[in-house]
Parts: sequence; C-alpha cells; structure tokens
Amino acid sequence: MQSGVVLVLGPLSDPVTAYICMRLISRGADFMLVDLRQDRRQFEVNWSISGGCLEGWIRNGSRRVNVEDVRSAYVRQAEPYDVILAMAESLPIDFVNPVSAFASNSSKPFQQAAIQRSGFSVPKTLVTNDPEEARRFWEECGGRVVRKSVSDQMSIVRGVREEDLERLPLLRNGPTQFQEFVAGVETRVHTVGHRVFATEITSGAMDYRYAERERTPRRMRAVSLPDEIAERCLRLSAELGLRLAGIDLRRDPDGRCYCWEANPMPGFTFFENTSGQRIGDAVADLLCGDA
Amino acid sequence: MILILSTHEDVCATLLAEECRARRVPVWHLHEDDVLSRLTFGWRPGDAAGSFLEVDGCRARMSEVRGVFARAPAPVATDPDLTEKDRRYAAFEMEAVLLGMLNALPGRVVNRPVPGRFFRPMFRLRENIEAVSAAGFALPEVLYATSVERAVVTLREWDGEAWASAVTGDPPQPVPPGEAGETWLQGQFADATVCLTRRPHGMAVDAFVVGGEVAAGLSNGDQISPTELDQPLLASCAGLCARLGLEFAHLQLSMSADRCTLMDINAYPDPSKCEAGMKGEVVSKLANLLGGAD
Repeated sequence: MQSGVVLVLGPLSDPVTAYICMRLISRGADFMLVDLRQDRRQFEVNWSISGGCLEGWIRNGSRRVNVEDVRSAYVRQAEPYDVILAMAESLPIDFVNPVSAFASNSSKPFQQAAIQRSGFSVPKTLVTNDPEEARRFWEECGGRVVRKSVSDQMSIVRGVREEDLERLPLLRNGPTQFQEFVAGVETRVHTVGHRVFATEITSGAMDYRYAERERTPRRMRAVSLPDEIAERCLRLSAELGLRLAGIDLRRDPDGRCYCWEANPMPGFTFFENTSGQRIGDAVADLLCGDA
Repeated sequence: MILILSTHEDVCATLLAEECRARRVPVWHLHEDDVLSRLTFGWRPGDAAGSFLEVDGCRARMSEVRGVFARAPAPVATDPDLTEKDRRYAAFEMEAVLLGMLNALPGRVVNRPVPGRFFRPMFRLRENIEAVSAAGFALPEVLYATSVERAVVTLREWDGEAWASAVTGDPPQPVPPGEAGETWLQGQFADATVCLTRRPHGMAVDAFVVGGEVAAGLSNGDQISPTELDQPLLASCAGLCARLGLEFAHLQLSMSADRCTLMDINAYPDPSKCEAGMKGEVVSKLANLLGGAD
C-alpha cells in the first residue's frame, strides 16, 4: 500500500460510502471522510497557487491534512462548485471519479455516442417533443418501444402500450426518449481501473431495479464476460474518464451486445451483496495504489 | 440555417442574429422562453438527415443546420402552469436534449458544450493550469479560502490588488481599493469560499479570440478600445483557446514589461463594452465562423 491520505467525499449515511470506509479501515489505510453537505464550520480549506506550485491544507474537525499528503479521492457527492472538489481536482492524484467525468451521464443521448464509439450496439432511438413523430416511431418499431428520461434524473423504464399513445400530446410540455425494445439477458458490469466484474440479472420486470414493485423475481449471479466485451467496457470507461463505472448491457438472442448507459457513480454494493464479487476491495486497491 | 440560443439580455447573440440577417443568411434566434414553446424536434441519434428541427412551422433537417451559437447553461424556461417539480424535470430533460443534440449536429457549433467542463474559477483544473503555462502565459497567484479572515490577511499582503470570486462560474470582480476592499470581501464572502487572484502591476488587455483570430483592446473599466498586440502574443491567445477547445473566448490579461499574466478566461464572451468598431469586428468574425460568409 502506498502512503498518503485518501479523501472520501460523501455522507456516512450512504451505504456505498460507508462500505468504502470499511474496506479502507480493514487494510489500515489512512483516510479522511468529509461530507460536503455537513455544517461548513466543521471544515476549513486553504490552498494557493504561487509560481505554478500548489500548496495548502484541509482541516476536518481537529485533523489537518496538507495537500501534498493527499494520494487519492473517492467521490460520492458530485457538487461541481464545492471548494474541496475544486482543490482536489487541481492536485495530481487518483480520482474515483473526477467530477468532470460524472457529467457525461447527464445526457443519455450524449453518452450514447461514446457507447457506439466503444463498439457496442445501441437501440434505435428517438428523442422528441413531437407527438406525431413519436407515434411514427412506435409504428416503425411495431409497438415494441420503451420510454425513459433523457437526463440523469431518476426514472423508471416503461413500455409504451397502444393506450399510452393517447398521452403523446403531453410531449409538448417536455421531450422524452423512446427506444426500440430489445429482448435479452441483462448484465451489469463494474469496471474498476483495469478490472472487470460482471453480474447477470434475470428478471421479468422491464426495469430490474424495480422488480419488487412489479412482484416479479430477480436473480443475480457473477459471470465471466467474453474478452472482447470486457475490453469494450474498459474502452468505454476510459473514453468517459471513469476509473469506476457501472455499465448496463443486454445481449439479444442473436448474440449482439447492446449497451444502455455507463453510470459514473454506481451503487455497486447492491450487486456485491448478491454476487459476492469483491468490487469494494478493488475500489480500495485503486485508492491505495495497489491496483 | 444558423441557430442561435440565448437569453433576451445577450447582446452578442442579438448582434450576431442581426449580422446574419444583414447577410441574408437564414437564422433562428430562440430565447429561453421559446425553446420549449417554439422549437419542435425529432432527433434520431446517428441519423442527422432523418432528424429535424422545426420553428414556427418551418422545418429543417438537422443536416441543414450550418452553424449554432448556443450560450450555456442552456437557457430553458418551462411552462408556468406546470408544478414546480414538473418544471424542474422538464428543464433538466430539455437541457439534456440540447447537450446531446448540439454535440451531434454535423454543422459548426461554436464552443460545442462538453459536460463537466468548467472554466471558472480558471485556475482550479490541473489541465487548465497546464494549458495556460504551455501557451506561454504567466499564472497569477491564487488563494482559495473558506475563511474570509485568512483571505483578508492575504489581501493585505498583496496590497489590496486582487480580483475575487466565489467557487462558481461567476466572473471575478476587482476588489475595491483600500480598507473598503476588506469590508467588501467580508460582506461578500462571509458564508462562502472566496477565490482571490492577485492582480499584478501592468496594463489591462482584453483579447477576443474568434476561431483562431484575435481582436484585442485596452480596458479602462467601462470601455474597451482597440489595440494591436504583437504576433507572438496573438499566437499565445489563439493557441490557448485551441488547447482548451474554445472557438470563441474572452481573455483578460495583465501585461508588464517582462510578462503577460492571464487573469481570466470567459467561454461566453460579451463584447458589449468594446467600442463600436471592435464590437462589429468580433461579431463579423463570429458570423464568418458560423458559415454566414460575407
């Protein structure tokens, strides 16, 4: 393990942040946990650039760490204008993940272009606020269409049934993304540095995250990916500047591999708890320079 | 077809629209309250010819949009009859559409938006610091402090010669001279982090870079009068913008006998303080860049 302090930026009430802290404690790593939303009087930051050199410190409670002693940062709060993040981004340290890299997910169609460049298939897509165009797309796809948010706002993926077409005039209030439905086996892939962890998910729900709501079972198990697919995942993560990513794949009956999105802040504990994959340890390795 | 997206107050966008019309180039100029109400689109990612934009019943294929001048953050005003939650959601969604669509358009998009790319405060990202040095500019001394008392101590060490800003995208402001400056700093940043940039002794120069060309002026605070810069400095200005991926930018420089210090860079320039001739030059270069050839 390399020396230096790991900055963990997130609230302890977040299970993923808490789990990363546990993994760091278990290996005796030195870290400083800072909740960016805590009372500002709890911490103080002072840093300067002079002659191109950076110096300064961060104090949290009674502990003070000089910037040259920081070796890496784990970020669970992507607040672009936070002073601690601003400071960390100017340091030559390992970032999981850089704040700038979080933003690619703020527009799914924007990210989709990177997904295609990485070699994955993407479903036929329409983004529109025109009811007639949406109806035309639905007919072109033989009614096998799902709708989802365009931004990274939390939304549930839902199928568009014939009776839903009556509501298309609501598109005038705001656009929606429609995609041709692709049947197949779902896999969530976590890339951590150069390591790849794949979890296969079997569920009858349109959106497996909400299987309980649809009262349908969900099964998850660790699987190995073909080398070519694993390489594509690593290529996509690298293109998006992500050291840690949660990538959603679906393999159709013809063997074609579709990618829906890459999550820059994945809640990997949901998958690790079921699959037994040591994703948190891999993240801790990355933060401690052991990867 | 040239597409302009801006707020109503955006002088540069308004002048550009007028310039395009004077050149008989078709232009759609949409303001924040128009985007959802006047713009209709069917965007099929990866298929610009099969995608369209429509404004007031006039439809164009996305492949026919020659140039875009879009000011960010993407200005979107939502239907006031929606609930606050729905309005916020609709605005997020529309901003996400614009981000994706402006990156997918095959025509020229001035300062194509890159998610997560921040230019302010200028000296926070390592890549910005490296780009400024590589272009040959000196870096000013900069302090970030959560404690305004510490900032006041530094301000005294710098003889009160500084600009101040919050850690946001807002432009830095000159700190008022003398004791008034300390009071102002304490009032402005009592509950916020301050970014203090030392202002070196030197001449204040403003450079507007448009597609590799530079229009430079001397600032007296209220007005920018045109001036000539030497060739190496012009090349440094254009080179820095190229490194940062900016086709249109406003650089604020402090020039002394032995160095030129970059104080700030604005990716959304406002040339309204420029003298009429210089303002016209900037807008004309911008129209040329967008493909509205004279």
